[in-house]
Amino acid sequence: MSVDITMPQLSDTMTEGTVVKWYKNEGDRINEGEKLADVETDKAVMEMEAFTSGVLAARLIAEGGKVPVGARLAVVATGKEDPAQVKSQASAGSAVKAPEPAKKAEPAPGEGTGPATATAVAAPVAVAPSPSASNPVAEDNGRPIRISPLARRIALEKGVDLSLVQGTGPLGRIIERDITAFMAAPPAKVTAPVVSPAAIGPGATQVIAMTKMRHAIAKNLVASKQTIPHYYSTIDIDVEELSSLRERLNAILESRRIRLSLSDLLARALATALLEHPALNATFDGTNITRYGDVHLGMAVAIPDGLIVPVLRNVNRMGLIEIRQRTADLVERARAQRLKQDEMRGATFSVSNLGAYGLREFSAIINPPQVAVLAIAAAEKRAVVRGGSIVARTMLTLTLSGDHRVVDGADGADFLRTLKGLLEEPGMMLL
Amino acid sequence: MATATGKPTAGATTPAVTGKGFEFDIIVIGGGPAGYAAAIRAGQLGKRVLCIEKENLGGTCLNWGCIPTKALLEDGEFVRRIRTEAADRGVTVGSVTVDFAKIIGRSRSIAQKLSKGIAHLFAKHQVKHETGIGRLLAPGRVRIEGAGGAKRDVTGEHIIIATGARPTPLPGVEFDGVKIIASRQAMILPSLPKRLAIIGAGAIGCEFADFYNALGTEVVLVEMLEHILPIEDDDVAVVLDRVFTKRGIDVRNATRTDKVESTATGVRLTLSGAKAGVVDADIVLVAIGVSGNTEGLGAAEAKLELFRGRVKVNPQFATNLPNVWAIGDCVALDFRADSPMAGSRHPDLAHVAHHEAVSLVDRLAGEGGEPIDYRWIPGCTYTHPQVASMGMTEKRARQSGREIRVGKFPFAASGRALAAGESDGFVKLIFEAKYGELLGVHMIGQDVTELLAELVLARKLEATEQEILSAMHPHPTMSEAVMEAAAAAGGRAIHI
Repeated sequence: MSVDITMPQLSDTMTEGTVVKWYKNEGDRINEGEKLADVETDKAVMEMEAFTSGVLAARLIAEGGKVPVGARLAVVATGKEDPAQVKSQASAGSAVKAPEPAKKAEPAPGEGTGPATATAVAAPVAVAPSPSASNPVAEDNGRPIRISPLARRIALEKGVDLSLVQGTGPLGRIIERDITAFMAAPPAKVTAPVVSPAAIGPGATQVIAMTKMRHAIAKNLVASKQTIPHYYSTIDIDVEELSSLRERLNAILESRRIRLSLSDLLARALATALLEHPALNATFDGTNITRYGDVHLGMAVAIPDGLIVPVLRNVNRMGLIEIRQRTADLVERARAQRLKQDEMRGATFSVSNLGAYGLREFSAIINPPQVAVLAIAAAEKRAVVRGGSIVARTMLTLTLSGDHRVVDGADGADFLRTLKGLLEEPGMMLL
Repeated sequence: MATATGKPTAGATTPAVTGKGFEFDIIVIGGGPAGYAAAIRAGQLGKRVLCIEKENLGGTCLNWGCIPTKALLEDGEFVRRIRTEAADRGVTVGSVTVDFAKIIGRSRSIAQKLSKGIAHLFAKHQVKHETGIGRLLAPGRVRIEGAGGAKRDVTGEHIIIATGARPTPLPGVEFDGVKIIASRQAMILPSLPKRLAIIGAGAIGCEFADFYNALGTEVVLVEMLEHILPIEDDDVAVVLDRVFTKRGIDVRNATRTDKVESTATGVRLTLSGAKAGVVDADIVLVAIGVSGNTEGLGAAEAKLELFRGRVKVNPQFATNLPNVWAIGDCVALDFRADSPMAGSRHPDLAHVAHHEAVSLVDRLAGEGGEPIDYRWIPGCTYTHPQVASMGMTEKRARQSGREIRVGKFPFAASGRALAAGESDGFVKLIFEAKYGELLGVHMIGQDVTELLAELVLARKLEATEQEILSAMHPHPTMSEAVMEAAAAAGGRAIHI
């Protein structure tokens, strides 16, 4: 029999998709699970796998063709039928052709037409990663990082975020001493990844077409801010003990080449706190509130001109080591835009961590249908009062955004109090 | 040759140290591998540059070191193979006669040709050249003392001292140039000595031992330290010692030279230690090290700081005087106490001098200037078999406290080496165990000096064990031994 392959829904918000590349030709044998095509959604370019085995009888959509979710992309002959016949039947329906090349953006109004006028059009969001890119660490924001093999190996095992490392080799290549220096003194502030835009000369303008991702972000966030009555609750947490616990654990884990981050410990505490406060570990569809017995933690990851929120599933069932390993994997693949569809949905609570930028505090916008999001700022030494005197302690400020339709301020505050207790006395997580 | 403008005379007012009132942007004192490279690089960058050399351009390396000795060693090996290996390869030769003067002559003609090549490069890059001794008067000011007492002062914004080094005599035993000689005389002897004693079995001592042994001279090689080639890995020295001994060289390691006396027929050495005794020879070659050439420099008058006769510099090649720099064999490098090189001596090698020159001149010209990492200096000895190395010996790597993995591949297991009839030796690679960082390379075997470049590049690019073993090496070549040694470190070599 013949089986249709249709445009899958690869994200919650996806309504249509573009076939970027076919990996199989008509007449090719395909096996279930094999990579069939790259499909661009509103968020990223993702792989589409075959769900059935057989012979690819017909490709109904050319590369570059855009169709709604559910539309037929191809037909697979799974039995003894003649693929040619299947194709002729299938093609009776209208095939979508590749679109015309996008029109060039008009020059900005009011600008002269002389050669000095620089009107740049930004390229669309990064496309599929090269098939040979087998090492996720070697890419940052879809671009290759210049890094030596030795430095890469050390960074991978130490869990160093390469986007924060300043290379001192030729042409900024990251070499071993840069990783060593980074680990000795990770940049305290303002060395967070910065995508430096091309300079725009004086008198020039730059017109940038909205990418699909920007459209999606714009649509979702406007919807969120206009429909959800956000409230914000901020709390200071003394993470001195937690930091030293982390150091002790890392010393033990060094031989296993694992290096925990503060976020990992935070994720662990969040899982415990959220299960104690199920009102925040929930989704709301406008009618019903759904609470969950597991914590699926969404983690916002910045990528060029946008962000992706991979989901760490069942974090409540994980130990710290697993949290570290799975987070590193998700973040790296998110940056390379190589996440699978189900790795980006189903979060029951989200965090946004801008600690690397040295922020004291900030607030985040809720990603519906979730009902809350936690904004994590930088852990830093601050002067605080302890027992009547001023001492330096490592402090961390967290800001909870809650959806007041379903979670009241007191619920949010109670949750934060629990979280603070866990972070200030990490042993509580053992209970 | 010089076309100086506004030529100051002796006793003229001291030139300003800043500003553009100088005849030259850069004055280089010395025309060896440090000096000529600095001068040419400066010329390339459009600087007005003067190079002062008292003798022939090219310095010791071209004229009295690296290059002429390689010519001698090639010829010696040619003779040795005819005499000892021709029969095994089915070639019958009659009695072999060696024209020693012709061998020396070929070596000299190559040196002269290369020295002329430097003069040509100077002209091409607009480098001015003066023959004479350069004396530092003050920062910015140098006196050229030419032949016949002619003196002329020149001014330059930057002064680079690159005066090189010369052989150090044995304490209490002066060179006489006839019976007690240094390397320079050893490469222009009037006739082949019957019996030659060599004190010092570093690269120079071992190379002359190899050469003269090949031509039929009886050679006694004396080394005070535990093994010959003392700075090399123990395993390498053991192989070379075995080969040398098999060829009839009297190797006396761990042996001290107590006395050198001139006799009616030659010299007599009195030795103590592991292989003590009295040795009579026609000539003794002293090759125990080199000392900086700083006596004509006027260091004391100019208040230039020296350390044990060498110009003291920091790792940026700065002396104690402003805009006065020093590079190459004449320097004593003062590493910072926290440097991994703290306590080390400057490696007196032509390629080090060359890189120091380019690094310094690029920096002076605002073109960056890649600093030299003294941990990874390659070194070669052109004995037969050759020795090539870089980085830590196994002993030092273990002493450093790191966990290491060592991979060794013998040439006896290399098809290419067997085909060449050169199965002595091995490639030994030392890796840090956790990340596979390349810490040391030690090779002995035919033409291994040419194999070293691959590992120099690997080190520079921070390639690890994994990249070296997985890089496809061509078959059949000696270079496969590098790949196999890397594989052997992880217990996965295919051919052993």
